[in-house]
Parts: sequence; structure tokens; C-alpha cells
Amino acid sequence: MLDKTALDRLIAILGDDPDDLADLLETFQEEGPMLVATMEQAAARQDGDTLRRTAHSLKSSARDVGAEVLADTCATIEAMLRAGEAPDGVLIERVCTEWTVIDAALRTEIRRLKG
Amino acid sequence: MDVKGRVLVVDDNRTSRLIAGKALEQIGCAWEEAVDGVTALSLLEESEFDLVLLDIEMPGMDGLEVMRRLRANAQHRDLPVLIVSGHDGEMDLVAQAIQLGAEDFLSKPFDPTLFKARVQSCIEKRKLRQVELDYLNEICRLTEAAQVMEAGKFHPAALQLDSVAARPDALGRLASIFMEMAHQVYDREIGLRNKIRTLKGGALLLAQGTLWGLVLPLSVLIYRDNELTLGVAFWTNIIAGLICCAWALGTGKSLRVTKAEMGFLLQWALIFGLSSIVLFEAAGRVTGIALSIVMALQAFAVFAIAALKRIEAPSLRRFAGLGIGLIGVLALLLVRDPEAGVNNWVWILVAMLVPLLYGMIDILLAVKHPPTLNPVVSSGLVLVLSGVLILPIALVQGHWFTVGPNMATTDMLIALAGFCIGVCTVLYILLIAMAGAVFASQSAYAITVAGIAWSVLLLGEALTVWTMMTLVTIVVGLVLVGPKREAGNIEVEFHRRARA
Repeated sequence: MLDKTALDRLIAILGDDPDDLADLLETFQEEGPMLVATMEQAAARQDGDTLRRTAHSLKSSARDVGAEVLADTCATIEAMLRAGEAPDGVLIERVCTEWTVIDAALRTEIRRLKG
Repeated sequence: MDVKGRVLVVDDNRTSRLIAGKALEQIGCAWEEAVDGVTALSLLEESEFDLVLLDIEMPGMDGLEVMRRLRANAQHRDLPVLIVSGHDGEMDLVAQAIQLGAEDFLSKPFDPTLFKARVQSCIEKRKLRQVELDYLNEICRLTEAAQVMEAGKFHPAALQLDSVAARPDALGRLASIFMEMAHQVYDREIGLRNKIRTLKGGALLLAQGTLWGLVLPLSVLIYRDNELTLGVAFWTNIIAGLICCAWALGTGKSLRVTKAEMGFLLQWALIFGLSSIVLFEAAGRVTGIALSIVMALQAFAVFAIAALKRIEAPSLRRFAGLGIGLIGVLALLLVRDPEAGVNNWVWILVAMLVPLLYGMIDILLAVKHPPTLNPVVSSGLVLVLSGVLILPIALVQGHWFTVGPNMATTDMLIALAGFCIGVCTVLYILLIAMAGAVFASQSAYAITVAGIAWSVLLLGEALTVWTMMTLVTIVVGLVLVGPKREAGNIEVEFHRRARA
């Protein structure tokens, strides 16, 4: 679920320290649900600006850790909002589902790094 | 090699901040984080950074606005900024940021080599620029110092070139040579000024002393004819005062004074009145020479009071002078010339009150004489005032007599003494203003010499070897006390050479 190439590049910039990478993944694991929740709330009250910016932020972090599918979904939402279209509820739901998958993958990866 | 520097990471995304921060730590940089534009700007105000890593998409104030504010602020105009751009499709915003003055951009995910190269290059450029700015700044300081000197008045310490002169490079060398020359010019000018002051002061001092010295044998002569000393004091002071007032009015000065000035004049008049009574009382009981020598005490009294009140700087040398002078005066009490009925040591002691009172007046004038008050006006008023203060005592004591209209010898002598006192008082105030109370009080030295000379001439007194020796001792003491030192913070003129 997490792209190996992306994780290798990330650990390289962090100085090849597995602990640092684990810290980073934990940070993302904490920050992710907040971003997802913000997106849901923004979609519910049709706050396009917050939704776009949060999608952009989640996309950026997702790409950093190699969560490509989640990043692509966020990119689609961001692009639609930039083009002036409102993303439908299905896309937002997909973000939630994909986060659950990434969350599990993050847990596995963190355990492996700390193991 | 590590990059030493302090970087501010501005990003609303915690994961992104952490990645950038860890990457910075890897290459040896210290870092701080800001979650938005406003926090970033306030952190930049609080402390120094070498570089900013800036995200563009942020809630509230975005990266572009942060860029604009930084470039509009003189303090942060040169601070390098690297834009952190996302993985896709932000190039138009990055281009805008670069147009606003961002150094370059870092695209995510970071490539370790490129990341280090860009951060390092920015920080090095920043440090080089800082060195350049410091250099330019110090050149400015040096140029300003040169302008200050060229403009005229200057004081070497106020040129503030010490930090520039401390530089180990060519600029430092130039600044230290410049400072050295400024100091030399300054010292020469100050030396010259002191010489001129001493010369002018000396001339004034001799003139004042010679005239005042004449008053001493005159007092003795007056006493021989007229023992109504209070009346004599009244008339001499009134005549002296009227001469000064006439002089002031003749030169277009107003005799009007304020209430505060009146208080000062009253103090002065009281001390002066008392001194003139004592002078005329003592004059008949001691010789003119003894009276003249006693007058030297004035210089020591002034120095002692000035040193006690910290008006002028005391030194060991000056105190030694004071000591030697006092030995000379005490010796006078022992070796007093034997003359029938005069020079009783009690009366010599009484006569010593006169120079002590004069010393008090010196200090009063040096400290309190209002610079706005014309010296001729103040002298005139004080002399008249002291006469008026003496008048009731003279009447009660039966010392009243009239002067003129058919001027007898005594009347002439009283008028002459009055004239001398009036002129001397004015000269004395001018002398204090120019050279300070301690220097001015050395007119006592001139008074003593002149008094002795006038006494020999007018009274036919003789100077014995012993009296001569006490005189020499006193003179040595006076030389050691010396004139007032000029304050250290005076500016001097710098004269440019005329161009050929």
C-alpha cells in the first residue's frame, strides 16, 4: 500500500535513520485523520476553499510517504475545485476508505521499522 | 561538510515541516517552525535567520503574501527564501514567488543532494552579503567621521570609530590611522587653547592684582587719617558701586534684575560688605606688607573650598601647594616685621578673614553667577547694596561722616580706593568666567606682590629677608595649586588646508 520507492527516498533525505522515518510516519498517522475530518466537514458545508487546501495538504503528505492512491484521489478533488467544480460525496467517501487502508499500512510499517 | 545556519520552516502541514526539519538537521542546520504566515513574520522579527523554507498553500496568510511582506521590510529584504513546491501542478505559483524575490524552489520529494546544495548556497550567499553589508557600513562610518571633521567641530571619542579601527584588515588600518590623526589634531588644538587661556587669563590677572594691591596701602593711609572704618567702608563701596552702575548704564545695560538674581546678589553683598569692614579695621593695625602677604590666603581658601565641594578636581600636587602656602602664611605670623604699635599677631589673624571671605565670594561667583547677568551690572549692584547694608551700622556706631564737597586728601584716597575696587570687581568676574575660580584666585599672588610694591612706594615700608622668604614659600605653594583644568568633553575646530 505504501510505495517502496517513495519510502526509500524519504529515508534517504532523513539520513537513513529508521527511527526518524517511524517518527515521521507516526506524525502522518496522527495528522491524517484530522485532515480527513476537516475535508468531510468542509464538503458538508460546501466550503470549497478549505476543502481544496486540505486536499492539497493531505495529497502532499500522502505522496511523501508513498500513499499514491490516496494522493491521486486528493489530487482529483483539488483539481476539480480549482476548475470550479464541486466534487461529489463519493470522492470524499473514497478518501475516508483509502485513509483506513493507509492507516493500517502505516501501522505495519511503523512496527516493522521499530521491530 | 555541514552547513551552519538557522532556518525557518513555514508550512501548515506538520508532516511536511517534520520532513524539512529532519532534512535540515541532516546537513547540520538548526531550524524553527511556523505553522502559518503570521507566525513566520513574528518569529522573523524576534530572531535572526539565515534562510526561510516557505510553503505557498497555507490558510490565512499564504506564502506569496509572506514574500511580499518580507520584501517590503528593509530588515528582511535580503533574507533568502526557498519555495517548497508540491509534487504536481504548482509551477505558476512558484514562478510568482520567484518574481517576488524568492531565491529558488525545492520540489518535493526532496532529493538529498539537491536539497543540501540549494540550502547551502543560499546560506553562504546570505553570509557573504552580511559581510559585505558590514564592510559597507563601516566604510560609511569612516566617511561620516571624515565629514564630521571636515564640517568643523569634533571630539575624537564622538567619532565612534573604535569598532572599525579594531578590524584586522586594510579598512581597520585606515580607520586606526584616521583616529590617530584626529587625536593628534585634537591634542594640539586643546594645548593651544589652554596656552591662549593662560596668556589671556594671566594678563587679566596681573591687571586686576596690581589695581587691587593698591587698595591695601590706600586702606592703611586712610586709617591713619580716619578711624571711622564703617563710614570708610560705606563710602568706598558706594563710590565703587556707582562707578560700575554708571559704566553699565553708559554702555546701554539695564540695571534690572530678577528676584532669583537679587537673592544671589544679596548673599554676595553681605560677604563683601563684611570683608570691607574687616579690611579697613585691620588696615591700620598691620603693615601694608603684612596685609599684602595675608591676601595670598585667598588662593588657598578658594582651592580648599572648591576641592571640598568638588567643583574642581583636587590632586596631590594641588594639596601639597596648599600645604606649602599655609606654612608660608604661618611663618609670616612668626617673622612679622617689628614696627611700633602694629603687626600684633591677633590683628594679622583678623586680617586673614579678608582673603577667606574673598575665597567664599570666588566660589559663589564661579558656581552661582548667572551667565545672563552682565558682570558690570552685578558688580555695581552688589557694591551699592553692600554700602547700603553697612550704612545703618555706621550710623549706630557713630562712624558716619560726609565726603567732599571740598575734597581733602582722605576724601581723595577714599574715592581712589572706591574706583580701584569697582574696576577690580568687574575684571575679577571676567577672569573667573574665562579661567575658573581657582585660577582667578591666583590674582591673590599678583595682589600680594603689587601690595608689597605699593606699600614700599606709598608707605615707605621695608621688606626684610624673613618676610621675603615667607613670600617665596607662598609663591611656590600657589604655583603648585595651578590653574583650572579644562573639561575633557570639549570639541575643537578642524581647519582644512587651503587648496593650491
